[in-house]
Amino acid sequence: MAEDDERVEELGALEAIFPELKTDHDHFSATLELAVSPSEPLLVRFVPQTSRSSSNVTYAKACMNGSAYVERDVALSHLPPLSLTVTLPDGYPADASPKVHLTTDQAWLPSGKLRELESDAKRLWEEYGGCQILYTYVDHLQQAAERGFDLDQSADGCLILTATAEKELVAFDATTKLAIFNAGTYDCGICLEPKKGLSCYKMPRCGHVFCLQCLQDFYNNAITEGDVGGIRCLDPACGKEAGNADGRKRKRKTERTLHPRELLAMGIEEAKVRRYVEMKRKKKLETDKSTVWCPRTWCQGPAKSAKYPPIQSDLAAYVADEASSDESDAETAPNAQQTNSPAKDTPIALADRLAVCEKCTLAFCRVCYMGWHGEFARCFPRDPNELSVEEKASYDYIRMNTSPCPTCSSPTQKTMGCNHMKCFQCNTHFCYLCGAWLDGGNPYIHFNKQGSQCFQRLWELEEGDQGQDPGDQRGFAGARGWEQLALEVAREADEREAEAAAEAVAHEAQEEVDARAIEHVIALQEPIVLAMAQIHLNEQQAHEEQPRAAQQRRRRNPFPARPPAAGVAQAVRRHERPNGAGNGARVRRRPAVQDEDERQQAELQRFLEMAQRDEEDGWDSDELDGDDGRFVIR
Amino acid sequence: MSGNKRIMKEFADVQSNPPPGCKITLENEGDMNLWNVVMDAPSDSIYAGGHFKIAIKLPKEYPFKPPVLNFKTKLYHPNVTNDENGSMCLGMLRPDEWKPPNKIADVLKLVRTVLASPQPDDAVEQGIAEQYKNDRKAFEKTAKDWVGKYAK
Repeated sequence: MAEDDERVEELGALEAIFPELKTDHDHFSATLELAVSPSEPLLVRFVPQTSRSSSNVTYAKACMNGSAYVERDVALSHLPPLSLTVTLPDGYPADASPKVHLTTDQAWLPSGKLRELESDAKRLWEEYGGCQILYTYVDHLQQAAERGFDLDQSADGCLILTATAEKELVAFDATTKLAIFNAGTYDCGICLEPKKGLSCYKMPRCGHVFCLQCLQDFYNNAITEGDVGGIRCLDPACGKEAGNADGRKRKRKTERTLHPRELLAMGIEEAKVRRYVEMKRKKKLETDKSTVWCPRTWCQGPAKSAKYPPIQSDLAAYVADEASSDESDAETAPNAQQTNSPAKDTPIALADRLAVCEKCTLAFCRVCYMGWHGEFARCFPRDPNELSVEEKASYDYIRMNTSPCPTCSSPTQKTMGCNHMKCFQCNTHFCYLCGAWLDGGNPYIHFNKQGSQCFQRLWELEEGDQGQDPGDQRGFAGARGWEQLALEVAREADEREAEAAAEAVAHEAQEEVDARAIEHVIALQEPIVLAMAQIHLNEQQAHEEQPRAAQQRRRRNPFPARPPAAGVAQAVRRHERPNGAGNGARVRRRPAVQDEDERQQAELQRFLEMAQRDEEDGWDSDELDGDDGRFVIR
Repeated sequence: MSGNKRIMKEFADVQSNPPPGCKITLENEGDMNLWNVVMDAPSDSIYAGGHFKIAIKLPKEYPFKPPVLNFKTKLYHPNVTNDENGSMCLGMLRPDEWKPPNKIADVLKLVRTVLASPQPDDAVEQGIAEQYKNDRKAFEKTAKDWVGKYAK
């Protein structure tokens, strides 16, 4: 062929413009790859493969298969290049049009479109009246690519592809973007240094760029400190507008935290990322009221739930939050009402009662918190916060038989001695009866001040705070009065809730009370209530005793061994016993009130002296009881 | 330490291009983490004419952790603690609000804004905030008195 063949000349010119052009001069053909990067990202809809005919069916199928894989719209900025092969036949350009063949990698461009673009070559050649057309044609293709081949002008408004193509196309888009990004230079807002794109990271959601080093330092630090909320884009303005505009700041805030995939992409160690994911999940579980917790006290793990799937080994695929949180925006609103209230209002369906602890795999019933009893067993709701029988018993015991330290609230039980307590935890001096702080230097003033509610009550409960009659409110008059009240209120509420159960309890309680009452009757030969009433009288009306009460008081206790239930009474009695009571003169007598007071004072005086020498423990009032065990109740 | 490098850079920046009304020096040569600022109150604020000494302590985790601001000059302001610390903890200075790309220059700009317009709803001194809201005259009088007494 002649050297001045126009075809050689044109190919040469094209080669100069597109250095990547591969030419085959012998056959007058050339191949050129044209990048497809539409100015507006191209919307591509990926549909499951069989869905062409009736998409509804596949939706159903997809759901039944348990796969959440439905149609997905993805905007792609970069698509695999369009490769053009052109062959210039003999007679080109004057008599023959160029032969063009267009293909795309992954065959993403519909063949109809390709043929249309191929035919454009001939059309252009004709329009230009049979002259050299290659450059014009390439330019035409590039412009078409820029417009996304007008695919968004189609009836669907987007390009429709089968789902199988999604992975590769999305990957291509990402790698192209990355390559472009890597080639750039960015100012990191944290270290304030200009960095190459290669050592920077761009937040996929908001596009803010920071250098990898700073991001790693910051997020590693935040994860170590447990600051889950800090794992978000670091740009000061990022996410603020959206949050305020919506008035749903909190929601936005949680949403802004990064996906573990992003942390991994920044080069943060997997162990760290896993810790982040775990902390995040734990936080969510803990704030979700519908979370059911394992009833085993040593476990207390959350029950498995579809809402919070366990963390997969592949963190990049973790979908528990970010991916779903877009939906959950719409989804949680109705859900929230459902999940927050049903525990109380609507009974949980029988089949839904089974809960399995994800930590210890205990299968239990989420209604009664017992081991799983099968779907058909009847069971009654139990509050997960409710204590087990043992816990309740010990809790009740603590409430009934201890007094809290007013400073550190350590439960304190008096096993013996006076009501001046010193906390073993914090060394606070306090009154066992009313919880008042006492002066360590002279704690007994509290019990000697007339008018004080604990006046003359230093030795109440001397034998220890245990085994008293529950009906006796005196021991609890002070610090624990409100607790008793609260207990009472709680008990009443319980009774109203489960009447049947309460009846049984009441019945038992009644029996117990009866049994105790009998005991007391045996023990004291008078109802304890009466005895208590007397002591009250005794205290309040020490100076104006009524003859009748006085008479009753002169009873004898026939039992030398004091029944524990009478601890209070005895403590009071003993402490009010005249000083000389121990010297054998075991005569029933009724001292004059004046005398009595003096004796009391003397006795107290003696005690206080001992107390100041710190020997009050040696003051054994038992000795005053005498050997015959008979003693007088004033 | 990338933090230290950044502090150097920031310091150089504020030297060549100081934020409005601010003079910035180092407390002692060789310690980049203690900055001294003398800020002229904005002329349109009630503190106008006052020069306020502010100590800025950059924690060693800076910029991951926010700087700590202390007014060394006494200042009658609902957002500055009325004690020997003169602490200020507002907006971006809060640990959970702080973001590393914030710079000291930004912080100082914020301080000037807050001087010009106190934020009583975000106050550390409730008493002053109440007065600012309910008895502006009295507030302004005390604030001005204090400027004359302490900030000249």
